[in-house]
Amino acid sequence: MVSGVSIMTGLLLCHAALTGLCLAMDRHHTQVLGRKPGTRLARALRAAGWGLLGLALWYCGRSWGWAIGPVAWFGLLSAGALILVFSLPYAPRAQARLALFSLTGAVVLMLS
Amino acid sequence: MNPPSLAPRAAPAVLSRVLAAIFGGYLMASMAVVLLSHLLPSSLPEAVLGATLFGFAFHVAAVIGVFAAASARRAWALLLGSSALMGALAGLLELLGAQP
Amino acid sequence: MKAGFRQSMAWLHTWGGLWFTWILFAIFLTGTLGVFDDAISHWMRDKGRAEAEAPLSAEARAEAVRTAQAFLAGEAPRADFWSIGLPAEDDPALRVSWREHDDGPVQRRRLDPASGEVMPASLTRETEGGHHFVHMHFEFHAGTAGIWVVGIATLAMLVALVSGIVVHKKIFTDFFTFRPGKGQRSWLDGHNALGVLTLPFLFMITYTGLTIFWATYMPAGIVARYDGSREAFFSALTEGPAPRPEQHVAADMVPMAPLLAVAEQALAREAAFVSVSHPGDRSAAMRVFGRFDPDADSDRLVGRSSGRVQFDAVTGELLDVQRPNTTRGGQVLAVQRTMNALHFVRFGGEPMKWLYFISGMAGSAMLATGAILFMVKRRRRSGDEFGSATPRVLQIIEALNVAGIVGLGLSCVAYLWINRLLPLGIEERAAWEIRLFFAVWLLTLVHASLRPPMRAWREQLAAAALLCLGLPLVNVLSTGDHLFAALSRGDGESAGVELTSLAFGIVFALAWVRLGARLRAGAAGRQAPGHAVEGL
Repeated sequence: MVSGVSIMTGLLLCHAALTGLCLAMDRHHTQVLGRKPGTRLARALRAAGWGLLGLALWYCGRSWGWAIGPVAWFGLLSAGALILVFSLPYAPRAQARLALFSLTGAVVLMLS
Repeated sequence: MNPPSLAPRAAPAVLSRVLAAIFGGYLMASMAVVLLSHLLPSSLPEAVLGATLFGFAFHVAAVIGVFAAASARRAWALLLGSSALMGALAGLLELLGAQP
Repeated sequence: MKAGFRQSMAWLHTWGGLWFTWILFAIFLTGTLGVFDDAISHWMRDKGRAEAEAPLSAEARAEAVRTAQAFLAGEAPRADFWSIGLPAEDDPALRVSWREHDDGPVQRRRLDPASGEVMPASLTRETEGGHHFVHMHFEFHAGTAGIWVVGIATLAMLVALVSGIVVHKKIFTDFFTFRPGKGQRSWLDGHNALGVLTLPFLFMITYTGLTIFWATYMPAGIVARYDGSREAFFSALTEGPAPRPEQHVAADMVPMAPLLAVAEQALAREAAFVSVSHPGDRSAAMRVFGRFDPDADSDRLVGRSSGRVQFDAVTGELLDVQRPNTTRGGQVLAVQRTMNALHFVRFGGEPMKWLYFISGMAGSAMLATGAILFMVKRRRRSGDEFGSATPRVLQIIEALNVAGIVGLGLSCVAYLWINRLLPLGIEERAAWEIRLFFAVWLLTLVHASLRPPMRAWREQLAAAALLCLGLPLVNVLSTGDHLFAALSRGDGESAGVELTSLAFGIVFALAWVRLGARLRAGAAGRQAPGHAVEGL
C-alpha cells in the first residue's frame, strides 16, 4: 500500500517540474518575473523541468511498482498541472515560491 | 465541408452525415473487426478480442472522416465501399480456411 | 484543405459536443462519485457506528447456503439463475436473488441467515447506496437501452476529444495559459486547460469505458467467427470450463452446502458468493467465489481475482478450480483485463482513487465549461443557426445547461438527504430513493426552464451549496452521528463523504457569490446583460 508521504512527494516533484517548464516560456516568465528569460536560463529551466519529470516517473515506479507507477505519474502530473495553471494568474509570484517549496519538500521527503 | 448552419435548409445534408457517421461508421468498423480477426497473429478467440478492441478506434476515425468529407454522398460511398471490400476479403479468407 | 479540415472539425466539435454534453457530464460526474461508491454506501447505510459483525464460521457459512438453497428451491425451483451473497462483516443479511427467465426481472430478498425468514425492511436503512451513481454512470438505470445510450455518448466523447485537439491550434504554446476575468476568453482557456492537462486520463477512461462492453457494443467478430455463440467464444477465450447450455430437462440438484466446504478448501480462502446457472435443469452449474482480499497483491494492475470453483450442481462433480490471484488466457485477454482494471481503479488503493476523483472532476468541469462557453458565445451575439427558432432553441439549451450541470450536482447531494429523511419502514425504500433522485433532477429542469437564465443559475447554485453544507447537519439530526465523532473513531469513509460534501458546498457558494457580483456589476454599468453573464 502506498503511503500518503509518497503521494505527496510525487505531487511536489510534478508541481516543481511543471513550474520549471512553465517558467521556461517567455509568456509565463514575464507573467511571474516581469521580464523574458535569457536563452540560457530558459534552457536551464526546461532541462530542470524535464529532469524533474523523469525523476518523478522514476519515483512513482519505485513507490507503486512499474505496473501502476506510470498511471500514478500521469495522475499526479494532471493534479500538479491543475494546481499550477489555475492559481498562476491569481498569484504568479507565490506560484514560483511554491515551486521552490515543492522542490525542497520533495527532496527532504525523498531523503528522509 | 463548409460548416453548415443547423437551419432547416441544411438539415437533409447534416442528417445524412449523422446517419453515415453512426450506422455507416459502425458497419465499417464491424467489417474491419472481422477482417482483422483473420489477420492478427494470435489464437482465434484472442484475435477476435484484439480486433474488437481496435474496432472502436475505427469507428471514431470513420466519424471524423464522415464530417471531414467533401459531401455526404462521398462519405457514404467511402464507408460502404470500404465495408464491402473488407467484407469480401474476410469472406475470401474464410473460404480459404486461412488460420488467423 | 488543411484549413477546411480544421473548420469541419470545429463544426463537429461544437455541435457534436453540444448535443452530447449533458449526458456526458452526467456520465462523468456520476462515474467520478462512483469511484467512492463503497465509502458513500458506508455513509448511507450508517455503518460508521455499527458494531462490526463477527466473521462467520465455516459451519455458519454452510448453514447459510443450506438456508438459501431451501428458500430458492421454494421460490423458483427452475430458474435462469440463483445467486447467494453470504453474510459479511458489512452486511449480516443473507442476500439471495434469482431470475426466472433470461428476460425477466431479477428478484431480490434479504434473509435472516439463522431462520431463513425474509427480513423486515424497517430494521435496515435499505438503500442502493453509492451503487446508484455507478448505475447512473453506465446505464442510467435503464438496462440494455441505457448501456447503448452511454456507449453512443462515449463514442461521441472520443470524437470530441480528437476533433478538440485538431481545433485547439496551440496546445503547447497555451499549455499553462489561463486568463481569468476575460469573459468568453476565460471560458475557452479553462475548457482547453482542463481538457489538455487531463488528456491522458480522458482518453484512457473513455476508451477503456467502451471496451468493457466490447462484446455487447461490437459483436461482429463473435458473430462472424463463432456463429454468434458467446458461450463457446468466452469459454475458448478464458480457457475456462466448457459452456453448459440449458437442456430443458428437469433434474434434482445436490445439496450445495457440502460443496461449499470443498470449494473453500480448493481456494484456500473463505467463500463470499455462490451462484447457480439454470437451477433445476440438467445443465445446472454451481459456482463459488472467494472473498475479496484488498491487501493481496495491491502492486499489480490485474490478476487480483478472488478465485472461483465450478461444480456440476446435479452430480456434485468438481468441474473447474481457478485459484485466487491467477489469470488465464492469452496476452490479448490480459490487455483487455488491464484496460478494465484501469477503468475501475482496481489498484493502488485510496491514493489512486483520489487521483481518479480529481481527474474525473476536472473532466466533468471540462464538459461543463464547454457547454457554458457555447452559450456565452451566443448570449453576446446570437446568429440564426436554427433559423427563426434560434431564440427558443438557445433558451432550451440554457435550461439544459442549468439542470444538466448544477441541477445534477444538486440532485446527487439531494440523494444523500433523501437517504436520511425517508422513513425506514416503507416498501421499496431503495427504489424510492432513486425515484426521488430523478424527481429532484426533473424539478431542476422545470425550474431552469421557468426562471430567467441567470436567476436559474444562481438559485440552483445556492440550493446546491445549502444542501452540501447542510449534509453534516442532517446527519446529526437524523442519525445522531457527526463529523467529529467519525473523525475520532477513525472512520475515514464517513468523514470523507461529509468533508467532500462541505468542499463542494464551498465551491457552489463561491460560484453563487461570484455570479451575483458579476450580475450586479453588469446592472450597475448598464451594460448589455450578455456582458455580465460572461463572467459566470
